[in-house]
Amino acid sequence: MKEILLLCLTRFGDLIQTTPLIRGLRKAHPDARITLAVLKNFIGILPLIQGYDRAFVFDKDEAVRKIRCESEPLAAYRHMDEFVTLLEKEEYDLVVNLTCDRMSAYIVSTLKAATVSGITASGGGQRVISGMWGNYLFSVLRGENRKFNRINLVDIFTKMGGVNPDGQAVELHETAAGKLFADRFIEEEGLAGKKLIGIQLGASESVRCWPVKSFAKLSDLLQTETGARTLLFGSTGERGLAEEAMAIMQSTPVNTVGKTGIEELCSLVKRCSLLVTNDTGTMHFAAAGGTPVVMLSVGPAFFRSTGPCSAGNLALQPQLPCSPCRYNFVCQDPVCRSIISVEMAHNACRLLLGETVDLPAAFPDVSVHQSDFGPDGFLEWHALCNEDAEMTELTDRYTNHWKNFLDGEVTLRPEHLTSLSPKLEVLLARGKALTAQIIDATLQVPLPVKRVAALGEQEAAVEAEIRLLGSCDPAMAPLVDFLTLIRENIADNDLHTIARQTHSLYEQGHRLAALL
Amino acid sequence: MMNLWDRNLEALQRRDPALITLVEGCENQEGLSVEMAKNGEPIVKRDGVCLHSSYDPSREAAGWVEKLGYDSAAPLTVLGLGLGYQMKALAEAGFRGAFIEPDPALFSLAMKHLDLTLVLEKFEPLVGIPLDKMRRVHRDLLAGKIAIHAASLSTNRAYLGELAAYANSLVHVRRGGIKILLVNPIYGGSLPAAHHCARTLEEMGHEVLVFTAESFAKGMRFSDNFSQAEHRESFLNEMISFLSRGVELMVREFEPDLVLALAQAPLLNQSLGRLEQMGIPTAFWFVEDYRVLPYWKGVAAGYSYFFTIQQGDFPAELVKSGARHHAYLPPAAAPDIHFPVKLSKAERKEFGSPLSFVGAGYYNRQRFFRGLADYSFKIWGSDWPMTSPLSPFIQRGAARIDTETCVKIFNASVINLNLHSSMHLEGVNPAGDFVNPRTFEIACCSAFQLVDRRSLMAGLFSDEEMETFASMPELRAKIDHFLANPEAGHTIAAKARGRVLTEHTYRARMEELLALMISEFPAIAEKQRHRIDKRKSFLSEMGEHEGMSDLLARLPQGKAVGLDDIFLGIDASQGELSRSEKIFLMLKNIEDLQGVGR
Repeated sequence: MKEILLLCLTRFGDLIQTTPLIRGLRKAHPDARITLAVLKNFIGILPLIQGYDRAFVFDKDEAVRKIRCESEPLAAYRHMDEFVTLLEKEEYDLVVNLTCDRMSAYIVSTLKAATVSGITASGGGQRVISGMWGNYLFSVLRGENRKFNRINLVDIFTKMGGVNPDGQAVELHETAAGKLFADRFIEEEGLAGKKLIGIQLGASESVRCWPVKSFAKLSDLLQTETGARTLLFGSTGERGLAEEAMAIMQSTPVNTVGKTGIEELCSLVKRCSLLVTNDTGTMHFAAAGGTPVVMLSVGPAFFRSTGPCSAGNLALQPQLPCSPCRYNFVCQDPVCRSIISVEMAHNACRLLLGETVDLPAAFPDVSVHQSDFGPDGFLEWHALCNEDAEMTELTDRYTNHWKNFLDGEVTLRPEHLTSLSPKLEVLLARGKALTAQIIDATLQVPLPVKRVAALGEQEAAVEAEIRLLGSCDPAMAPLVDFLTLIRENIADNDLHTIARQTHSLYEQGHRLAALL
Repeated sequence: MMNLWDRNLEALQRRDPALITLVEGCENQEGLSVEMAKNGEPIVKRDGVCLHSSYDPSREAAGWVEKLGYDSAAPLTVLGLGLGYQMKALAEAGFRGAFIEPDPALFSLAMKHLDLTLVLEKFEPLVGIPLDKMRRVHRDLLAGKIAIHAASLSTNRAYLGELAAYANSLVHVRRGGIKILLVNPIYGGSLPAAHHCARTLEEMGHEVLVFTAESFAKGMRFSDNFSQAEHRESFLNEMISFLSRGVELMVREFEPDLVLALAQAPLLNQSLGRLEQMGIPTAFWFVEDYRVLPYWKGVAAGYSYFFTIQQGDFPAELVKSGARHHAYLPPAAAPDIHFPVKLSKAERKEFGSPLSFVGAGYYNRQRFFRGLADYSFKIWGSDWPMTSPLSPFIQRGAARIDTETCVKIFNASVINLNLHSSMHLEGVNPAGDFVNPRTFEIACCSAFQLVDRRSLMAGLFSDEEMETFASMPELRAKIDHFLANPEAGHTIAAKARGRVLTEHTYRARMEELLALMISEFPAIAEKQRHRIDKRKSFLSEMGEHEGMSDLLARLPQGKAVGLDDIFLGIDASQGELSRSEKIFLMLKNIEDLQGVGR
C-alpha cells in the first residue's frame, strides 16, 4: 500500500481512539503515506499523534458560518469544494472512514480508492457501509444493541483498517511544550512530590455527566482521606462547572479548567496518579498517558464500547435495565447519576491506589469492571463485582463468534451449547434456499417473471419475519440489524446480481446464527 | 370624398365603436390648442406646452421610432398619443399593439387633424380609461413592451407618469423572487382571502412566508373565560401585542422585501414603526366595510400602503387618518377553488335548488328573504335563527358551510342570491358601494347570480355580465324571468366568469398590489434585482463544475437562489448524483446536524 487516508472528522476522544489503527497501519505498511483528514477545531492534538505523514484540515465551523450567509449561497460550496478537491488529488489504496455521518459518506464517495472501509454513499446517494467491521459498528454499536457488544471502539476502528489489535493502549506522545508547562505548573502550584488525582467534571453532553455536587464531595474526600491533591480538568466552556463545584468544596482543589491547551492537558493528566472522569476526551488522554482511570459510566455512556483503552482502569456502570440509555434519549428521571454514590467513586479510587475494599459490599447496584488486554490483543473488561452472569455468558458467546465471523473465519458452535435462536436459523436457511432458487430462475431465458415474482414474495415474507424476530428478541436484534444493514448495502440494478448478493447475505447470516 | 374626421370615424367604428360616442361628445377641449408647425403640419399644445416638434412633427416621429430600436414583430403599447404623429410613424413601420391616452378630447382633436386610419387598424385605442381600471384591466399590455411619448408624459404625469412607473414595476412583479411575509388574520372573513393571497403569490414565483396567526385563534377564544369586559379586552390586547411582536421577530429572521397584512392581522403601530425603521414597507389590504369596522383609523398611518375595497369618501378619510399611500383593490376569486364542477345526481339533489343563498344570517337578510317564502328556496350558512319564518328553508341547521360545499351549491342552483350584509337595514342598502367576494366567487364558478345593486359594480362588471336588483319587486320579477329562462342566466354567468378570469383573480390583485408597492418603494425591486444578480453570477461562475449545470437547470427560474432551493433540487432529482450535488449534500448534512439557523 502506498496511499492511505483516514477520515477522522471527529472529536478529540475519537482521534485518540484512532491511534492504535495508525500504529498498526504504520507497522504493516511502513512505506505507505498515511494521511489524516481532521476538523480544524481538533488539530491541537496532532502534535501528540505519531505515525501519520500529513493532515488535511477541514474548517467545519467556517462551513456553518458560510451556510448561514444566505446572500452568498456559493461561499459554503466553495469552502467544501476546496477541501474535497484537496482529498481528491490522490488515488488511495485504502480509505478508512472513522466518521459516522453522511457528510463523510459523500466525501468518501467522491474519492478514488481501491478499498473503502466504513460509511460511504452509492452513486445515487444512498448510504453504503463498506467492510464487515464497518457494518458491525453501524449495527451492533447502535441503540440497545450496544448491551450485547463487548468489543471496544478502538479495536473496531483498528479492525476497520484491516489491522489486528496489538494489546497496547491508545497512544499520545508528550510534547516538549506540554512537558515544560506541566513541570512549571506543578512547581508553581507547590504540587511536586504530591499524589495528584485528576477530576474531569464535564462531558460532551450533560446526560453523560455525574453530578457536580458528587464530584465536589469526592474531591473533598480524596484530599482529606488520601492526602492527595485534586486537579480539576476541563475546557473553557466548563469553567462554570468548576466554579459550581468549588463553591461547595470544603478543600480547595487545583483548578486548571480553561487554563490548558491540548499539549498541556496531556502532560498534566500524565502526571496524575489517577483520573476520575465521565466518558470524555480527557479519559482517553489518561489512557494514553498510562494514568489509571475511574470511569463513571452514566447516561448513554457504556464502558465496553467507549471506555479507556488501556489496562488497569475501573468502570462503574449502574445496574439498571435502561443503562446505558439510547443516544439522544431525553430522560425525565436520570437515576443512573445518583446510583453511583460518592462513596462508590471514592472506593474505586482507593482500589486503584492499591487499598483494600470490601467487594461487592462497597458497590451496591453498580457493576465494577477492570480493563486488561486479552490474548488476541483486544481490550477486555473483567468483572470485579455485581456481574450479570447470564448476560456475561451471552455476550461472551456473541463476542467470540462475532470476532471470528467478521474476520471470515469458520468456527463451530461447541456441542454443549444449544442454539440461541433455532427459529432464526430456520428462517435464514429458508431464505438461503429461496434465493438459490431465484438465482437459478434468473439464469433462465426467457426470464420466468411470474416464478421470480412469486419467489421474491416468499423471500420478502421471510425477511419480514426475521425483522420481526429482531424486534421481539433483544438478544437477536444485533444479528438481525447487522443483516438488515448489509442488505441495505445491496445497490445494483441487475436482478441476478441482487439475487446472488442476497443469497450470500443469508449464507452469512445462517453461518453466524449457527455459531450462536 | 370623405373628410379626415369621417375617415377616422369609420376606422374607429371598425376598431372600437364604443369610443365613437366618447370622441363625438368631446366639446370641452380646454387647455388644448392646435397650431401649425413650420412645415405646415398641425401640432397640439397642452397648457402652452407643445407636444410635437414645431418644425417638422412627422420627421421627429420617424426619428423617435428609429431611436426606439424595437423589433416591429412584438406588440407595442405606447403611453401618450399627442396628435398621433408617433403612432402614425409606428404603424407605417409595421408596428401593432395599443396606445393609451387618458384625455378623450386630445384623441378627438387628433381624429380631426391627422389621418389615423392606419393607426386604428394596427393599434387598439385605450382612451379615457380611469387609472385604476387601466391597471386592473390591461395588466398584460403594461407588462409587455412599452414606449413612452415623452412630451405627453411631461404634461400628464399624474396619469401617464404613474402608469409608466406601474408598467415598469409590473415587469419586476412578473419576474418573481420577491420575499414577502404575509400576516394572516387570527380569524374572520379575511382569513380565506389571506390563504388565497399566499397560494397565489407562491404560484407567481415569489418567496412567501406566512405568519399563521390563525394558530392562535383558540388562545384568543380563551378570553371568553373572563366575565368582565375590561379583563377580556386586556387579555385580547396583550395577545395581539404578543403576536405583533412575533411578526417582528419573523421579519428579523426572514428579512422580507415587504410585509403584507390582511384585515384583522395582529400588527400594532409600534411594530409597524419598527418595520419601517428596518426599511421594510408594509401593505394592508382592508377587505372590510370601513363604515362597519372603524378600527382602520387606528392603523391607517402605520402602514406604508393601504388597499381598500371601497372608493367614494374613504380615500379622503384615510388621508385624514394619516394614510400615506392608498389604492382601490376590490375583492377577487380564486379560479383554482371557485370553478364550474360537474355534480352527481345525488349532489344535485342535495345542493341544488331553483333559488339559493349562501351566507351568514345578517339582519337585513333575515328581513328581506321573508319576501321570498313562496319560492323553492334553500338558505345555507351560519347565524340564522331556527325559529323564524325562514326556518323551513335553512339547511343543515344553520351550520357553517365550507368552501368546497359552497362551490357545489353555486353550481347546483339555478339562481344564486347575493345580498350584501347590513346589521340595521331592512333589505338592500341603497348606498351600498363595494362588491363582496361572493360576487366574484359565484361568477368564477360560472354560476348565475342576482346581486343587490352596488355603486362600484359598474367598474367591475358590465350589465351583460351581472344582473342586479334594488328592491323586492325587482328581485321577484327577475327571479321569475330567469327561472323561466335559465339559458339566459347561463349566458350571463359565462360572460361573468370570463370577466373574473381576465380581471378579478387573486393573481390580478396581487400583481397590482405588488406593482403599486414597487412603484412607491423601489427598494423592493432593488433587493429583488440584487438576488437575481447573485443568481447570474452564481450561474456564470459555477458552469465549470461537474454536474452543476444540470443542477441549476432544475432550480426555479427567475428566482433568487438560496441553498434551500438547491437542496430541494437535489431531493427531487433521480439517478446518479453528480460531484456538485454530493458537495451540496455534504453541506446539507452539516446544516441538518448543526441546526444552522438561516
